[in-house]
Amino acid sequence: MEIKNEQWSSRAGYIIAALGMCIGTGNVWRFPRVCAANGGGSFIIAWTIAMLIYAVPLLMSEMVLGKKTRLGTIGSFRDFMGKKFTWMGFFVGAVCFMLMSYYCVVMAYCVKYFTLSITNFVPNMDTTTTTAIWNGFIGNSWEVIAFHFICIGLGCLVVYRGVTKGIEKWCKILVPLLFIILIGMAIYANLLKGSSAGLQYMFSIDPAYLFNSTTWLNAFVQAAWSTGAGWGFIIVYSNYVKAKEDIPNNCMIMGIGDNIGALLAGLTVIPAIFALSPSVEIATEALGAGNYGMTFIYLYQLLSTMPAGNIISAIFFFCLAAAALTSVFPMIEVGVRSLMNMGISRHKATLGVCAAGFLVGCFSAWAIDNLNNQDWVWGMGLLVSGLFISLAIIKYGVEKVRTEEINVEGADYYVGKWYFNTCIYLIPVIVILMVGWWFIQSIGWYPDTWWSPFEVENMGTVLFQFAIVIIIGLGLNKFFNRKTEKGPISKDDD
Amino acid sequence: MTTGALIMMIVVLVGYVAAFSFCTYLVMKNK
Repeated sequence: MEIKNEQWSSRAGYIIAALGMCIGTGNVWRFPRVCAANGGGSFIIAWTIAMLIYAVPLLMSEMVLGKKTRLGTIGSFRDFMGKKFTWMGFFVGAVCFMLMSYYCVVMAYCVKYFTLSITNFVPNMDTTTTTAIWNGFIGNSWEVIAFHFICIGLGCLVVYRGVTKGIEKWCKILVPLLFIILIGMAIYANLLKGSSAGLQYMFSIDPAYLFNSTTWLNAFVQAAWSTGAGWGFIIVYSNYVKAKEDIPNNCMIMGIGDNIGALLAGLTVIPAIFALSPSVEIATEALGAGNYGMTFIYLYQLLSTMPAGNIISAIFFFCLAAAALTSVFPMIEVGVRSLMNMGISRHKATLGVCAAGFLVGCFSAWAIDNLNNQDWVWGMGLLVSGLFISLAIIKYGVEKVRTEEINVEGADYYVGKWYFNTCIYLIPVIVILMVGWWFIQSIGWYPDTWWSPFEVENMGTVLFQFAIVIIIGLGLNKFFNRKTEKGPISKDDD
Repeated sequence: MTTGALIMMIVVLVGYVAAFSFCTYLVMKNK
């Protein structure tokens, strides 16, 4: 059968595809901004710890689920947690699908600016002009939808060809290219006059930030969003690994490689912004302008003031689009794999998932407030997905997972009880703290309408949309149990 | 750039590159 024959061609192929999954727009535009806003060097310390105690153990847990069950998110939760909990796997998959639908819109913005840099680049723009360009683009919903269609179409073409001929082949091209571009741009940015002020900003340690809870919460959120830990990607990618594939070292490479990608982006964006801004105040304003504002208004304006700015701008936005594309592959694959487990062929499943993703994504493409709403809701959703994955490990037995699934033949090294077990029990606490913190923040933003399901970024809209997904999942729980094929550890009790 | 920030930059970059190289070395060794 088609799905059983699919396997990564080599360990390197799997690691490169996983790195492509990890490194996305979260590294290139989110890390520099969040790092700069949370104390630079102090944030880097907190974020490195977050990678080690949150992201890497979660990635290991996902890999255990995927490798042991050889099923998508729905099937793996059924076989790992029991048939009453299959809906949790549906929740993880649904969050991933919703993320994919709006992530392609974000990629569409990057592709648009890539084409703008090549075809219609105006030197020496001011922020009024770049703001007008940005507002003009997002105000033209049909154009955004057209770019969204192109982006999801690119992802569809690759995933349609399968794991080895599609995802692995393209990741082997795009991921090394991404690193080469990032290294080249980081070197170039740091040769600019005045860039050392950016390095000073990025690497100076202020102890006050290390004792600030906001720094730590942002560090954990960045580690979760950037590495893709808890998204379900690695559950699916691990369906295709060899039986004796290592778990600890592969996951450590994903965590460290993702952080290196983010550091390279930081070494590019922060020094470039400081070098090109006329004053420190303007540089700080640019870094505080949000993901879209910093990238599409300030950075685009600053790039226009450089010699050969159109080329640098085109390379930068190509880099962003490529980073987004390699993260779109697993987002599509998560849905495809669950459908394939229900007996649907890869080709039909890919077309179905991408068509549905395109239609759902049109909501986010239509207005930026819709995109911000989806980003807010499903960004929170992936933290809950991480919680579900850690609960699956706890229910199965943390020590059993460590000794029987992780520390086994084929592992490059073994993980200690003190590390894995402690981290897995810590993850639910960390997730509850993060979600609680965001909810409390959001009540402050909407003191009168925090309960409303129709605000952009409040608690009501999160709970409303989560409730819809959970009700559908619970309603279809038996259907999923019945329709999803059996895996190596499925129980024959029905 | 202050000495503290310079030291932090070196520690971070060297630390990450060394850790990544070591993990990659283990992959190559156990291939």
